[in-house]
Amino acid sequence: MPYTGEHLIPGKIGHFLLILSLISSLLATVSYYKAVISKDLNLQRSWKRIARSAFLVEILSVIGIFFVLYFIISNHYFEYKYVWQHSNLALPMQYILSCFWEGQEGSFLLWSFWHCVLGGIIILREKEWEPSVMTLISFMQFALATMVIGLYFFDYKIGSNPFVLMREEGMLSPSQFPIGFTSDGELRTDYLSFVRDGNGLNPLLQNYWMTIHPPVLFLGFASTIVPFAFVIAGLWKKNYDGWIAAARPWALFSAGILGLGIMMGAAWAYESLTFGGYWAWDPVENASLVPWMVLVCGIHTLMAYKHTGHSLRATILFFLLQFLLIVYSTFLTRSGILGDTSVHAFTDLGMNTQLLLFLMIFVLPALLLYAIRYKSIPAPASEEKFSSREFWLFVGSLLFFISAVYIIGKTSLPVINKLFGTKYAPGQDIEYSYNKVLILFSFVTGLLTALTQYLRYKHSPRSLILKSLAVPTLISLLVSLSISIWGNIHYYKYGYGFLTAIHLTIFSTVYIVIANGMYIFSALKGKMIKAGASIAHLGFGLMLLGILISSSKKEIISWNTSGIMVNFGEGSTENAAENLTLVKDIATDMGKYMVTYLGDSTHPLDPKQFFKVHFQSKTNKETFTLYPDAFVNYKGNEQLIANPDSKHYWHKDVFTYITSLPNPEKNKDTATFQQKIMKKGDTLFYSKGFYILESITSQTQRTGLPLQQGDSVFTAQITVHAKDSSKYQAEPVLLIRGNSIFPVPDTVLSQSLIFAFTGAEEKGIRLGVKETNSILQYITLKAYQFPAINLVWLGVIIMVLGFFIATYNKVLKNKRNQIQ
Amino acid sequence: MKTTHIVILIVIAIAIGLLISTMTDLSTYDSIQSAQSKPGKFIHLIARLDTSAGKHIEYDPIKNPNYLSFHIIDSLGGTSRVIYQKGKPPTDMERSERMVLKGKMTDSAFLCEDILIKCPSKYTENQAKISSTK
Repeated sequence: MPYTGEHLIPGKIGHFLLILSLISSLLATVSYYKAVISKDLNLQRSWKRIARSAFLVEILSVIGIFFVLYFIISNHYFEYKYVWQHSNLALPMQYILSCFWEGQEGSFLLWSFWHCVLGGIIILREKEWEPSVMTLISFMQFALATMVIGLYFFDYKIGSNPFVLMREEGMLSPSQFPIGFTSDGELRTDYLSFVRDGNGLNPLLQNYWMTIHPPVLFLGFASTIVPFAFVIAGLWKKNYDGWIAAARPWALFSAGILGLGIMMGAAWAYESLTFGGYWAWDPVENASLVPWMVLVCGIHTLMAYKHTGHSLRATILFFLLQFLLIVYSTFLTRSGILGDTSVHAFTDLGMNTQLLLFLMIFVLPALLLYAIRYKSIPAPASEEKFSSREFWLFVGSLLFFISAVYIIGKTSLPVINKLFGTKYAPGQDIEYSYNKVLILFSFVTGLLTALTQYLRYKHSPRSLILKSLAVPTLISLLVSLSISIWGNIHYYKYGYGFLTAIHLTIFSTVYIVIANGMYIFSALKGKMIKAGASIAHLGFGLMLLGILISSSKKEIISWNTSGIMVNFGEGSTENAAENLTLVKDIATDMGKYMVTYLGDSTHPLDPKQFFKVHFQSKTNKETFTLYPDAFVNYKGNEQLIANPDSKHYWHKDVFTYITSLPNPEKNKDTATFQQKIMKKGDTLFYSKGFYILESITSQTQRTGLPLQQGDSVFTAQITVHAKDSSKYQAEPVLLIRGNSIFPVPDTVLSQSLIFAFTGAEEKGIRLGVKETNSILQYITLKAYQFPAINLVWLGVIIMVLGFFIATYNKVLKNKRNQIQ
Repeated sequence: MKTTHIVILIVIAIAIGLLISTMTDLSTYDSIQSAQSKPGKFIHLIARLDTSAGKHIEYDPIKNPNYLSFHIIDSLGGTSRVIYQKGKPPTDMERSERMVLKGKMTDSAFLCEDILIKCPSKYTENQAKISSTK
């Protein structure tokens, strides 16, 4: 039965391209495999030709899928399930791409797209290794294509197709969508005219970071397969080190881009989410950090092998593991197994068996191949000397690797529970349980990162070490001591042991920065093209230093000191009162600032509401205004979804976000003024205490009154005594201008009292008194101060730059060698 | 002894140290009933919001923006009051189908330090709620 208004053609094209991509990637895998194992040169060549054409078709079909999906989202074809689930009409254009990769299907496609790009480059550049490396990449493409194919294989559904229609999926039912059905429960042929809007993008993800972070991160994910594929190719063809020169720039590039992607996620969390920080040791963060760490280990041991022949077995293992961990992290974050431990894992698509298969099909053969070949991987019989660079490169990598294992082990707790039927949960203070261990690793690896470059391969004479290290060591000691002494780093929360570790690690990170910085000039004579490693180390050191300082000096400045909050209620012991309520137009004391909530504003095209919060420094004239925003009543959702705003200084950030707003429904003003007649010295009661009319004067202390020349004022001085024995002053003013009188009421906000001085008569003055809740226009917010946060971002940028310089340098080197 | 052996020994020592430190940090998932039998111990509860018999979420930012109280019920039928002293109710709490609460049980209430909300997923939802108004 045809339904009016549906656009079925793009979906049909999409379906076709999905199947084409599945078949062509399978064909590419088989033909590349044949090209590798064929002995006959002609046969090899013809298989390779077929494989290349197949991969070209794969590239075209993935790009085609991309366009079709983009097309149906940007045209709002809500008959498609994916479009309805992830987008709506009100969504600004720049978030259309965000809708694309909000769901699992779209993010698999993104991943697949990057493999196409990287595969294309490999076909063009890596002549010798193309068939074997591309066998693996094509196979990976096949595996990813099954994730979005959405076919039934007997009773088991394989993959989730982004081009299915809502009605095909049984998402439309008479109970939830009565208007779209006829009286006998049939879907109306014009049902689509009632589906006016989509479900929309999760408001937390409506952010420009959601547009740029996933592509970079997935490029990082995708690129890790290249070093892996080279290593497998080497093991497969028993050519244990022929792959090294070709794989090295790929590994460096991968480490750079993956590091960038991860830290962009951190920047997003910091800038736009209300986690109150940039890193929380959340399983999803860990799952992408750990592969990066293992990849970095591999890059370092590869250096050692290149120069001395040591550590090849370790290097191969690291390069295998880094990719296997990417696959593992895909399994962790997409299977829903992290459900109880992570705030932002993907939800279960019902593909767990398939995801497990995806994991096993890479892990088992790769590790088996490694085990079979292990004995034949060359390893020199001689021992590394203690004074050699390779020995410390190996030790440093090993330590870095152990810390990665520690992180992934802790993250895998839900998997361990599932495997063994246990019921362990992460401890009370998750962040500290990571921090206390990793700070020690950072200290030691920090020292090694600073020292090892100054050592020589094979053997370094003692005199040389002392001579070249003396100056950087001395400078680092001076710098780090001055940070420790004048930096006010007093993080006592976990006692002196941890504080000592912080100060030691400050030394070692400063040492990284200075030793590597000086190395660029002393040993490399300032040749930047060769200094990739030193630059990356320097950036890494700066980043660690920034993390140390910003975390240990992070300060909550919204401690609740206003008179408004009364008691903490039961069970309150050490819990922090971190939320501060700001009443509109009332300056409130907050740390170094007086803060005033000035009002809010909305924009017709933006569903967000912006809040204007004014900061005035208590010590100097500095003022600034922040605009934290929030989705209020988003789709009838009572909760608010807030985005922070920060004031950036070169040395710190002041960071604030809204945590609560008044509910307008609850606080309708139904109270009216009650007229009282009072004489000087009279006392009257109200619900929470009493107030006294102290005096009537013809002056006022109040500012901001609309006074003109010739006006006269009368002020009633009132003291309010609340039950909790706090005292407040109120000064309602009577303004007389010519023949008119204007009462200017005054409010005591914390007591919800309004006084209006409305006139005078024989018995006393007329005073209007109102008790109400609705006068309170307020916001509740949290504010932090992050010192040295910019060091973190600067460090990341320098580090990534270092990786890219090193990549470029190795590409040039390979080119030179080819020409020779 | 070869240097590799020394390195391996050190690595093993570190690994054992880490394992021990991890084990001592761990907590457990409990039911409300089993939590009540070990008051004061840091545990994880899995439960859902209890709104039966007039129980409701108590939060008044004017009185105290750092005080939240609500009731929970778990799959075994255990119930408890929860007090959370860190701010507002988490987003979508009313709509959540499950919550993971971390904290300590006391005689009167569960003192919660962290709330993780699990909402009915829009991916596994079988039927779409469609409103025809914009």
